[in-house]
Amino acid sequence: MFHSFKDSFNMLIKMDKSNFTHILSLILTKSVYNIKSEFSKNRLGYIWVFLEPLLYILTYYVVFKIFLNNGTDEYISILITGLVPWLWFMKSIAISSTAIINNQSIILNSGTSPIVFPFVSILQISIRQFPTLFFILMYFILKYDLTWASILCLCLICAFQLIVIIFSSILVSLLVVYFRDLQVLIPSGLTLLMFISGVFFSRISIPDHLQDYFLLNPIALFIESYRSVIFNLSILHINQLIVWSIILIIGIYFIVKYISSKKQYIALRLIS
Amino acid sequence: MKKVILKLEKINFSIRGNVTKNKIFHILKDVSIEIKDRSVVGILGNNGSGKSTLLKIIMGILPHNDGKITNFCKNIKLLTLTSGFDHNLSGRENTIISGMLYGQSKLEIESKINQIHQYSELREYFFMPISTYSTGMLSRLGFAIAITIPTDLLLIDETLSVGDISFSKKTEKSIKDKLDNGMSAILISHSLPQLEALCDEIYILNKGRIINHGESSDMINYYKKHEQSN
Repeated sequence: MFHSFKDSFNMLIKMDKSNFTHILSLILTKSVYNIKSEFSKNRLGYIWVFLEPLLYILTYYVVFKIFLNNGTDEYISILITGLVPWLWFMKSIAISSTAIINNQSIILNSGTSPIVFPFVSILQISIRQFPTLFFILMYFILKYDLTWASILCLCLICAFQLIVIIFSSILVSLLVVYFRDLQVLIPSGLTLLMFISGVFFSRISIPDHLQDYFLLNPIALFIESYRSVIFNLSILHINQLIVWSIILIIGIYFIVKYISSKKQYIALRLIS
Repeated sequence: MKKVILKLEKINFSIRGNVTKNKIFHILKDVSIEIKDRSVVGILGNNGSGKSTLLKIIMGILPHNDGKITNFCKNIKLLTLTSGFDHNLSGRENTIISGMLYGQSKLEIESKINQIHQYSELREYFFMPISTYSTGMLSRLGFAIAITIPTDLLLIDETLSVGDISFSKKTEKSIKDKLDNGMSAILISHSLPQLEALCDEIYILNKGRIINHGESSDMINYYKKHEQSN
C-alpha cells in the first residue's frame, strides 16, 4: 500500500512525538559526550579545535603559495574559504560513513534506531567546527568590512552546507551497511572530491566552458558562494542554491524514512 | 489463570551467509513460546542454538521470516551490561547515555542517578572514567542502570552473574523483587541452579528448534539426560 507524500509526511510528524523528542535529545547528548570523550584522550584537549584547521591551512599555504609559488595575493583568503568548509564536510562524511556499523552492538542490543548514529557524527563534527567558523567569520568581517547582509548570506550558505553534509553523511552511512567495500573507497573518493570542488582554486581559474559544469557539484557551489559573498559582497548562485536545497531536503526525508522503516532489515544486514 | 502477555507461534528465522552467499542458515525453526503475566521463562540450550537471536526477534530488533508474534507488553527491554559504554567517560556520564539508550529521557535518568550510584556500590569510582574499572565493576554499573529502568518484560541474556558473590545475590534479589512487582522475564543462562531458582517454566532449544518445555525442575533433568546422551 503506497501513501502519498503528504500522508507520509503527516505520519512521520505524528508518528511518535515523544519518540522524536527522545531521539533529538539522545543525538545532542551523545554528540556532546563523544566530543568530551574524544578530547579527554589528548593532552592539548579542546585547543585542537583551533589548532587542527590552522595546521591544515598552514600546510597547504606552504605547499601551494610558497613551494609552488601559485595563486594570487589573496591566496590565503581563497585557501581559508575553501579549506575550512571542506574540512567540515570531509570529517562529517569520514566519521558518519562508519557510524551505523561501528554502533551495531548498541543497535542490536537496545533497538536504538540506526538513524541516530550518523546524526550524532554530524552534530559532533559541526559542534567542533563552530568555533573555527566563528573566528574565521570574524577575520573576514574585519578584513573585508562585511555588511550585515553579507553576514546573513554567509549564514544561509552555512545552512546550505549543513544540508549537503546531512544528505551525504546519512546516505553514505546507509550505503556502507549494504556495501562494506565502500569504506575502502571513501578516503580516495573524498580526495578526488577535494580536488574537483575548488578547495585550492577559484572558479575563475578554470576554463570558461567548464565553469557551469563545475557548479553542478554542490560542494563547489557552497565554496564558490562563500567566496562570492566575501570577495564580491554578493550572493551569485542563488538559483542553484535553492534548487539543490529542495532536492537535498527531499533526499534527506526519504533516507530518514527508509532507515526508520527498515530498522529490522538494517539490523539483519549488520549480523549477516 | 494468568493471562498471556507474549505469544510466539511457529517463528522461523534464517540468514544468508556473508561469505557463502548461497548458503542459508536456519537459526530458528518453528519456535512457539508463551509468556504469561508475572512469570519467568527460562531458555536453555547450547551455544549457537539460537537463544540470543530469539530474544532479538522478541525485542523487534530482528525480523522473522515466518510465524506470528502477539505482543501485549508496552515495553520490552534486553538487559545489556556494558553495551554502548564509552571508556573515556565517567560512570555517571555513561549512566546517562546508557539510560537514554534504554529509552529513558535525560531528566528521568538524571533523577535516578543517586539510586544507580548507590546500587552499583562504586563509591567515588562512579565519577571516574570507566577505563579505570575492573570487569566486575563495569558489570555492576551496567546492571545498576538496567534494573532501574521500568519494563513489563525483561530479557536477560546470560547477564545475571554480575560481580562478586554478594553482588550476584543482590542482583538475583532485585530480579525477584521486580517480578513480585508485576514484571515478567525471559532468562537465558547456562547456570542450571539459577534457572531452577528463578524460572517457572523452561523451554529447551536445540539447533534452533524447541525440543521440550515444561516445569523448570523437570526440564533441567531432561536437559541433563539429553546432554549425557549426546
